[in-house]
Amino acid sequence: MTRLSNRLLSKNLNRPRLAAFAIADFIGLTIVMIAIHFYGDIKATLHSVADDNADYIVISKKIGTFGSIEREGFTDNEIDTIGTQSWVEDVGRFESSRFDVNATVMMPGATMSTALFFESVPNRFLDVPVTTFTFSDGDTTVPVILPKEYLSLYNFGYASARNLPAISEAMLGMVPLRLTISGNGQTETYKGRIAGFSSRINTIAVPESFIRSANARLGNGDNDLPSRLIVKINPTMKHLAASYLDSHGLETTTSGVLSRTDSILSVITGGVVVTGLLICALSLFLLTLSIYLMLEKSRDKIKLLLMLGYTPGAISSYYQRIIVILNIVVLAAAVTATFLTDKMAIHRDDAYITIQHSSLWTSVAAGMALTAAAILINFASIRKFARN
Amino acid sequence: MNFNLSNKSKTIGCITLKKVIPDVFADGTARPLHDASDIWNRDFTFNRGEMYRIQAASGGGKSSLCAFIYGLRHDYHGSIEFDGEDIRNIKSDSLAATRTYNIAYLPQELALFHELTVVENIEIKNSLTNFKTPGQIKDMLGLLGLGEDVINRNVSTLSIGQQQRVAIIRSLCQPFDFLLLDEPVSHLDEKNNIAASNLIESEANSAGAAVITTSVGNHLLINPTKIVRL
Repeated sequence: MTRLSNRLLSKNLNRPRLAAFAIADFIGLTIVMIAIHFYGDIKATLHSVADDNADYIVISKKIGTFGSIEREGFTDNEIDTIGTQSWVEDVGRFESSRFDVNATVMMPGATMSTALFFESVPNRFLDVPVTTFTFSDGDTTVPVILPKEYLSLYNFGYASARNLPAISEAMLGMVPLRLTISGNGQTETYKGRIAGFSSRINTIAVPESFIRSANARLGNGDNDLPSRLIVKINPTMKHLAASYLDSHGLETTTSGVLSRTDSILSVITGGVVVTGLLICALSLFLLTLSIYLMLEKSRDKIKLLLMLGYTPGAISSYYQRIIVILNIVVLAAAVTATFLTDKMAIHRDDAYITIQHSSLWTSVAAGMALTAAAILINFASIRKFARN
Repeated sequence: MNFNLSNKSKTIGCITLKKVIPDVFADGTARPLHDASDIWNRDFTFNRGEMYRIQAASGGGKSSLCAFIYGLRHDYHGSIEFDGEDIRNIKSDSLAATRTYNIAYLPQELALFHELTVVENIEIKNSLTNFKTPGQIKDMLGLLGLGEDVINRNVSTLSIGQQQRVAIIRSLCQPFDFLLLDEPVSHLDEKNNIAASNLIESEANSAGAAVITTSVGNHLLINPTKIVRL
């Protein structure tokens, strides 16, 4: 195309309409890109919380309809069989205290006392620092791990209902705790130290060595088969776990809460992405329509140019250039907007949750794909017009 | 630039009409002026290097014939072939190349861009091949009485006769084997007719091209080698 023919066709350009497209497309594209990026961020954040725990499940035998008088535990054979399943990476036993435990919290002016029980799992299954979570005979202090849920339950349920101050993990760690254990006519007293809070193990855990030695001294000598097992599962074989548990009369206490959060999130972001796509589609429609109207307006000129020997391709290229430039400018603006939004989100991190930042590439790739689609669709419609 | 350069060296030696008849004549909507037409419903060949004058009264289908040959319209029965190739089968890019290198056309309605100046209207055609230099274009304009005072004005401000001369010059600003002129001098006085005829004849001769011209009355003053009745 020559300078002159470009000038001829440019007289029929409808700039306000092209600008309207650019704005609409910018909004749609930005919404899609931010939604995809946000989804990536939240997913990464959830997984950073969930990753460690999602691959661990606690299994126990189902309790029959009539209840079982005798506690049903896992025999060594059963544990070995479970350990050889393809979806199992590691198995650990819960060992329970077979002695009485009494914990006393001493605070100035108030002493609270409660009966408890202890359990233990091998240290490799813990999600708290284990270096100080040990007990040797002769020690007077027993480290205790509490479920994180207990603290949440207190902070978000009890404390807020009663207007009591919330307690942090560190604060609770400083509460003096006295543990009295008794059995077989003997009583021993230890200092309790809260070593951490676990979101993986839903029990009051003490070191395995403490349970074993105390059980030996104070235990009632009952059935010592473990009633619960902690299993580390192979994430790629996860799907096999549920059917195995079902067919062997086993159940797990770990519900799919995290994966449910995931699917709720997918639905929400999906909705936002669809909205963005809809806006993109409408803006694309607007662009196609305005290009079509421009072509219609220039119909006589195009006919003359074709008559003079200009090729349909040469005439199309003028409009195609406009479309490419317009779409790329819009894409660049949308990428910038997404980038800035991401930057702003970094500064909004607060104490409760650390947002993990996923790569911007997925959303940029999505933006590029949409832009490419817009360009191709318009190219096709222009070529069709020019050929006719 | 996007046009097909493959036709640059190819020439068209003959344009053959095989039993061509406009749809309006074929289906009885209109009637040809003569039963003894040389063209309609017969086989006829235009050869490169000859001078043809197509004569008929108004309504005889002269402009339709030009549009059929130039590939602008296809509302006819029969076929038109460029060196044996049916123009209905020619792809749009090749057709554009044919219009750029082989067949020059001056339509009766002139088909000028009214928002462009005289020089721009010629340049928009000439820029496809750069067939003429700006100096040659200026000389041709001068020969047809279009001086400096006119050539930079929008063609919409020119008289129809002046516009016709601009369109004649534009049609000469490309290589061609056939020059298709639809009533090229209908609005010209005798002096300009002579000037235009001389210019067209010399350009066609130097290209070894054929001139096919239509006329209802005011003829192009070139001695035709063949007079064709529609």
